[in-house]
Amino acid sequence: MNVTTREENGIAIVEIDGKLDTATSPAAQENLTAMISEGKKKILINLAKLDYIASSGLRVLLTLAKDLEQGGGALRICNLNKVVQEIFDISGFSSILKVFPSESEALASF
Amino acid sequence: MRYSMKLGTKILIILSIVAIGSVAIYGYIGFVTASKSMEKDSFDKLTAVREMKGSQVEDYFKTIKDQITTFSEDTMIVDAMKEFSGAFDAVGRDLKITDSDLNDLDEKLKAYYENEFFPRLEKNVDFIPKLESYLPKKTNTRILQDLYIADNSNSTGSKHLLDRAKDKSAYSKIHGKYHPIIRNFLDKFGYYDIFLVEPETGHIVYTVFKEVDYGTSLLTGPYKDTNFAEAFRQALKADKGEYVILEDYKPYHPSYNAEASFIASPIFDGDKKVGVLLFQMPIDKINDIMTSKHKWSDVGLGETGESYIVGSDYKLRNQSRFLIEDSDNYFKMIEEIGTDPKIIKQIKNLNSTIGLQEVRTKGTEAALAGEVETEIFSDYRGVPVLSSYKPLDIDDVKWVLMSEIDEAEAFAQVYSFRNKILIWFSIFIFAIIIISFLFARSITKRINILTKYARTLSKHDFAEDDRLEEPKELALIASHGDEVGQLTEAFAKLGKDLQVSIDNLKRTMTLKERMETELNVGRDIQMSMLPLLFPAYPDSQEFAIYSMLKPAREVGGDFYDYYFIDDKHFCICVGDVSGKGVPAALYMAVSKTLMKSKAGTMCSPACILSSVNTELSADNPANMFVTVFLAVLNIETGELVYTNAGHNPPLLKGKEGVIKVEDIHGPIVGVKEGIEYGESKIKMSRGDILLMFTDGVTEAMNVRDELYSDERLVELLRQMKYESAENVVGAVLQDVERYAGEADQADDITILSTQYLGRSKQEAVHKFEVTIKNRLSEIESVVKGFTEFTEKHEVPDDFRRKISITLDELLNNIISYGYDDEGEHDIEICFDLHEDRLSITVTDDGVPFNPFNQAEPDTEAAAGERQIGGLGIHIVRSIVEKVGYKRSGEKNIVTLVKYLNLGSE
Repeated sequence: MNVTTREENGIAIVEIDGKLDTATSPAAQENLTAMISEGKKKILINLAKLDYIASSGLRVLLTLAKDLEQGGGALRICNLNKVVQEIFDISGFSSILKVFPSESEALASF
Repeated sequence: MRYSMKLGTKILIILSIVAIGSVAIYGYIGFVTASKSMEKDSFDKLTAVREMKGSQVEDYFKTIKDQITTFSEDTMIVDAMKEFSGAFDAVGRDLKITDSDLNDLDEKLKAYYENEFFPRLEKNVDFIPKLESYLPKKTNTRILQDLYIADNSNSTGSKHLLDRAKDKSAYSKIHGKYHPIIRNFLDKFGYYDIFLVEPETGHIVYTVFKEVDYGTSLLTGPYKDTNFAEAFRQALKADKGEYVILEDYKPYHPSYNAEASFIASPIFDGDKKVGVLLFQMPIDKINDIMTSKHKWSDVGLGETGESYIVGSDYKLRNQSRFLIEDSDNYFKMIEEIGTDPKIIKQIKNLNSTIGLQEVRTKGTEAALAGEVETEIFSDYRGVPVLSSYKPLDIDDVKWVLMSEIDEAEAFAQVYSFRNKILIWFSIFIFAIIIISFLFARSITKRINILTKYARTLSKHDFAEDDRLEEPKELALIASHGDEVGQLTEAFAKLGKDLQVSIDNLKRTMTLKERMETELNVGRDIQMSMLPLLFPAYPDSQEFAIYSMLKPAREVGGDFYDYYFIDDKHFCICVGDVSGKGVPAALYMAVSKTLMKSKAGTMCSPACILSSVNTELSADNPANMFVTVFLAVLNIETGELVYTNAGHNPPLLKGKEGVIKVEDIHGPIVGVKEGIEYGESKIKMSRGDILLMFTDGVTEAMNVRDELYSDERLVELLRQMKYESAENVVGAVLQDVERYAGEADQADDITILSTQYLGRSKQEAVHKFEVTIKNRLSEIESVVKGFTEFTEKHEVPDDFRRKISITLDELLNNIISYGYDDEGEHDIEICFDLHEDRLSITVTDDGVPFNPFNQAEPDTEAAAGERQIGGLGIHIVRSIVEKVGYKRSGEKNIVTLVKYLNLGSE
């Protein structure tokens, strides 16, 4: 799992490469918490390169969403592959988190 | 709490206000009326005294006038007048008085003036009298004063006792003739003195008492300026008899400056005026009348009342009662109001207020102006008095008569009456308050008992062993018969009625509770009749089945069932009995049991249903019926034979979409005997899902009473992306519940889904086994190994991803929650890749735990309220088609089956 970050118009765009499961979620959590500490308010997570996500990964995203909302910020997620989309659907996360098919659509929604 | 005055206090206050108010008004009116009446009484008394005294004084003066008139007309007086006049002029000649005689005579006379007259006069005047001012100049006067005064052996004041001097003069002869008669008259009528005055020269030719004015001329002598001389001059002016002139009291020196009043009348001899007759009036007479001889209280003047006369000079004409009775106080008072000290001294010297005490009051001014009135004002001492006054009707003098009494005394009775009223008023008020208090208490005491009883009533729990006791006082209060009594009676009755009602209610409640308990037991039994163990048939690889029944209330009429008829045929049915409650439940039990017993002997759903219908219809007194969808699945071929007896058509979701299984093969079951039901066949492909349900799903209503509907269900199924038998049931229930919202569930909801998975080959093509320790970090190696395994056997990527997720969730769950110690344990994971499916077996030696026997998480909750946990297992169940669990020995064995190339894959 690899996390890369760039910034566009004050929006932090995070790309997660690999998978988000029991093994990788703690590291992802740390990465994202650090971004909030840095004062990032608007975060877009691009999951184009994500292989799959397990419930531990969902938990990371949920925590991030809660933390951002509390601080007046916002979280957007985009480019889910088929399996990840299915997991989002099964878990109900597609209605909980703001999910977009493409990065441009997600950026426009901030 | 709002402040509220107690009823007793209110009654007390109202009664007190009414009573005090009326007593106060009554007392006030009484007091005012009484004081007015007493004041009037006092004034009336004063007026009576005034009138009495007034007429006495007026009568007195009238009598004097009558006397003087009569006297002056008397021939004896006319003669005496003429004779005295003649003799007076001749006395010097008659007695042949020489100058030396005259000198001797003068010495005696001087001695008399200096030794007798002046000392007496000096007492009453504030100057030293001089001899030359008083000593007469005329010879005849000096001779007569010597004869009848100085030489008179009688002491001063008794000179009138000498009938005639010893000389030989004509005068003394005449004197001897008339003096006893006139003196007698004077004595009889109480005059101070009687004078005969010669009109031409003004000489006093005769007096009874012979004071120093005797023989002097009222026109030229020392007393020509006195009121006496004035009376004489007035009388001289009269032309004819019957004329009387009265001169008011003034200090008169010859009478030692005492107050003297004179009344004069001319004496006519025919038409000729021969002299003037004068009476000197004593002040005593008037004084006696006005002071009632010091018996004021006898005439109704009490302790402070008096009547007095005031002249036009505003001076008293009689003695003040206060000087007589309490002189010290009287002097103190007049001193305080600023009376001239000289006057006070004079009053003290003379011990008389006559002509000295000034009375210039509101009353005297009004009376002198002619008014007759009763009034209250301050008198000459500055003390408020009730006064009744009027002017006196006496000719020639202007006098007013005042009849007065101190206000304090006049109103003493009023004040004592007022005090009496106040005392009675207080006693009355006190009595009223006591009575009001007792009255108020008699009401509130009863109300308090009533209130206490009402509180007891409201707190009473009316338990069997705690009967409501009616307090004894209650009957006592009720017996009063007034409104409170009636209320109490009503209350007592209410208590009894309440006890009866509550007893009845309790009986009903107990009955209902028993019913409910029985109904609950009934529902438990009913539910226990349904197959509830999931995963059902985990070892059957050919199909997966999942079902649920959500009862509306208590016991209902929905049912489902599934079982193997033989190795190949799996029977599935869903039914819905008409009605609800106990009858429906019983009928359902009968139908279901019958169905299963019939299925045991035949494989055709049509035969089963026909047979069941015949039996149910044969003996159905309650006219109940049941709709049934009955299907038999050939698990080897996927052939589904089914019969629909009036039931909701099930839905079949396959690769081509969603099909409504619409054939109906006969009417509802239980109505008509001997019906032969038909049946239909349909081929299920691998992955196809058959969704059976009751009308509780499609007829579920939202708060606006709108039905969920078949269309909505079809659409839901069509759009469903993930699919397993269990998943579909969960998704449908969730959608129906979301649709219904707050609306009550009116009917049982039954959903049953069956997924056909195809005939399986039992032997695994590829196998992969891995054992790890119970550490989270170990999971990755399993995933890694599995990934390599899939790469080697060309398993699709999404399949690999889903299984990876499943592994992660399941192992995480086992490692995190599966052990009750800290020790190291092995977890064995075994993959069997068949042509059509992947089977995974996970074996651990943790505590007995079926991960699939947990409540599903609420995936609808918003992000903020989302609880983490249970989600992993939910994902697992959603991803794989079959899950299974068993406890074998000391181990938990979880099996997962995921089919390849199913439906959407």
